[in-house]
Amino acid sequence: MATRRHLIIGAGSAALAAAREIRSVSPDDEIKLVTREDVPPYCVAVLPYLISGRIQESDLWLLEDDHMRELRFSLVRGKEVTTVNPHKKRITYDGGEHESYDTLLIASGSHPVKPDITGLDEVGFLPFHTLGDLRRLRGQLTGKTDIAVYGGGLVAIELVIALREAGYRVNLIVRSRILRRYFDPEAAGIMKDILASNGVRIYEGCTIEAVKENKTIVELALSNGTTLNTEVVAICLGVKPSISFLRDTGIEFSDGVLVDRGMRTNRADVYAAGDAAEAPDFFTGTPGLSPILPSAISQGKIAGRNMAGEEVAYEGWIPMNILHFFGQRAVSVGIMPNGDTRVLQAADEQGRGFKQLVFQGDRLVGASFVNVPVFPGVLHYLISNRVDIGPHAELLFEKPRETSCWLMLKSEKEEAMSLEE
Amino acid sequence: MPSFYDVLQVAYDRCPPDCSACEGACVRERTSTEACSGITAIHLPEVGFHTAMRCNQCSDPACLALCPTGAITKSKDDGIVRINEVKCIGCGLCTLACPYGGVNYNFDKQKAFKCDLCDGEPMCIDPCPLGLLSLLKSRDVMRYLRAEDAFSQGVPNCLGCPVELSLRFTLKVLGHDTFMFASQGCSIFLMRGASLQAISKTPTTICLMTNVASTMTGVKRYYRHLGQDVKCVAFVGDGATVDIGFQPLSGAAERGENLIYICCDNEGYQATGNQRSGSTSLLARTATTPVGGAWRGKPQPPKYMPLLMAFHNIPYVATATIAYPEDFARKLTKAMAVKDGLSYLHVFSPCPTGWRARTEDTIDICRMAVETSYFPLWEAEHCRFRLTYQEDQPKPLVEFTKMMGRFSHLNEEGLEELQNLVSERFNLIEALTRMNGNEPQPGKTG
Repeated sequence: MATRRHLIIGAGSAALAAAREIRSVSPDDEIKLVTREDVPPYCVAVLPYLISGRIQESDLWLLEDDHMRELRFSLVRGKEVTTVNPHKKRITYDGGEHESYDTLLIASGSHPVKPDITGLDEVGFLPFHTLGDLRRLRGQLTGKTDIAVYGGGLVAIELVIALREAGYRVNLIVRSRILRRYFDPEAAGIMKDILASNGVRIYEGCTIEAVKENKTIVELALSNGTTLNTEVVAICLGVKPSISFLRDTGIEFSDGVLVDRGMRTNRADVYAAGDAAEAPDFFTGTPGLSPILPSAISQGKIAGRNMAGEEVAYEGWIPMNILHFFGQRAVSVGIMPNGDTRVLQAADEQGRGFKQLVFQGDRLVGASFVNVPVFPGVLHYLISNRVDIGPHAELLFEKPRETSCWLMLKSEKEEAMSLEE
Repeated sequence: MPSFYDVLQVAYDRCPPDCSACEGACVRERTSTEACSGITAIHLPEVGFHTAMRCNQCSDPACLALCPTGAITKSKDDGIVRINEVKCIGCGLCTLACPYGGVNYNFDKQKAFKCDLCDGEPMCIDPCPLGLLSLLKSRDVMRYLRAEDAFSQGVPNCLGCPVELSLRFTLKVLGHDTFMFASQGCSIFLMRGASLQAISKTPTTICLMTNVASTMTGVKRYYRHLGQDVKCVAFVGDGATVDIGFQPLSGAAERGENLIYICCDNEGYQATGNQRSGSTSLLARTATTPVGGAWRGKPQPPKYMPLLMAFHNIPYVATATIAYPEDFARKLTKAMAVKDGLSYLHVFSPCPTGWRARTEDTIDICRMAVETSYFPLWEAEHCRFRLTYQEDQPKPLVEFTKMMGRFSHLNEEGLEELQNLVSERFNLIEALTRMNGNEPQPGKTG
């Protein structure tokens, strides 16, 4: 078979996962990654750790030059893609030049949501999403000690933790409550206590109405009527897909690029993965955004395989996250309780630990733990393999670490036996 | 090409309740730098589950794929998946990625931690009171598989025949300085080259079925005169071994000739049309032991050739099959190490054509033959016997016989007769093993 030309818009985690997968299947194909950032590939999940100082910027790069050569990826940096022509099978750069492809992956990622706050443009919108954002934040923090972080999602909390570790005074302003999409109010309450006892000042249930710069001070007018004085405001209110260049291309999108289980769009040989994609969710199969690293990697892998000519199907994304903070751990996999689920839930008496299992019929569909020793990946296995928990739900709840290992190994053994049949 | 490497194996779910010797050993070994174990004892007495979770050193590690800093790598040399502590930021995503409980987290250092096989000699193996931990070595096998093929491409044998695979593998393990001896039989197609399909790149001489061992004797002695130690290796069928060439082989064994004699046993003269041989199973249907009328397959039990050879009191006798390549390779290696006499390997080799089995089942048949004890895996060094594979409870023989047409005529009575023969033969081997004080190793090759 003649060598093929794979073009990947983006150089983030989904893009790299796809590129590696293509290379593992097709040693001779051409693989080119195009990124609007002017730096080598890195993973955005690492950015908070640059603030806390656990890693240096020089350790950030995922592909050194010799890696790139070994894998024979070519990288186009600092170029914006303005449009895609799926009929002519080519993309157009902001400079007007074209580039053709045999297969195209849209892994263009996402950009931060900018809230409507009076005075924000004057003070400056400072999100925390790219290395560029991080560098700007660092610049603004020079000589400052007090910062407000606006948002209650994963990125906001990770940033808050990192800033505390680096010794800043941190104010956390959350519109509803922290980690609302991942943790039960009781678990989130424990996490809030941990953050508070480590010096984070938390303002839940309020929004920033207006910001105003007053010499070195930034005044925040909060919806609860109070004013908060700080020095820097970082805003982490989530992200949305960066896919504006797909307008009028015939490639179907809603919030993100719509893809099937093969990560294929409605146009031939055009794929999408990661933050930019709207792929089927694991539990219902309905399309949705899943802008987390594990989804980016698994979607990228599926896309890469299929671009290289194999035929693999995506099982769908599962919400998950893990948070290590101040020597404690919170982890959540799967969905939160809803009308159709059965829930086992308990917090320990010291108000330090929490566990919750969510079942749908005989299947585990959600699990979250705060400071409970478990192998998070094994719980993920039980959910993603739809392991029949049967009558062992109580045992799994009582001894989650041991029981999950037992059920996982049992399922692995049964799987091996069925292969032998 | 997927790569396979060494892996720490824990015999499934047999740990003593409340034991955490392995975990303790791992922590102890690392007290100076680590406060976290790479192996985790798991006890769930409610269901009688006791085991140890550890890293499988996966070929496509999920932990590696999810690591945001590239701190996790899989070595191309030893296959060990390692975490670079300097690059690890302690985010814990790897613990969320690993489905097998193979990655732990060191809360003191805020770093992920996992088993690195102590760089090849795991300290947890010896402390296990029941000896349930072992380092499963597959790297050697992979080395063999990657070795130069002693034959050109092409398959001259019937579809599904394992002779070709067994022979190619054998020569990969044996390596250079090998002189091969062939005789009439299925393996000859590959060894002498059948048309343009497959040509041997190893010196090979074709013997008569009557004189394989004596020809080898002459060649071996000739090279010895020249001052060269050449491996003289026969790879011949059961007809040339069990029946026609038995006397020269027995003589060479008795004289202590330093030869490696490999019998590839497909239980019959399959190359000439499935006639019965001295190695054909009791009640098996062949062209000369048909089913119908007064006939119900072969009336006589087979000679149990490997045992006959063992009782020549030669340095090494073993049974093997390509379904267990590690075991096969280890036995070939042992045979090569013998310098003071004859080594005999009896290799089980199903014949899909003659046995009327599905061609895709060959390896499964090999496995089932071992698991039912139809073809037990053992070795004997100067009559000291050792089983190299044993199930807790051998599977019923019907699991094996139902995989092939040559036993399809068996009624319950016939099956019982054959089962009794197989059980008796296995009991005999087991008894011989016990005489040496060698305890069998349950459920694994080794």
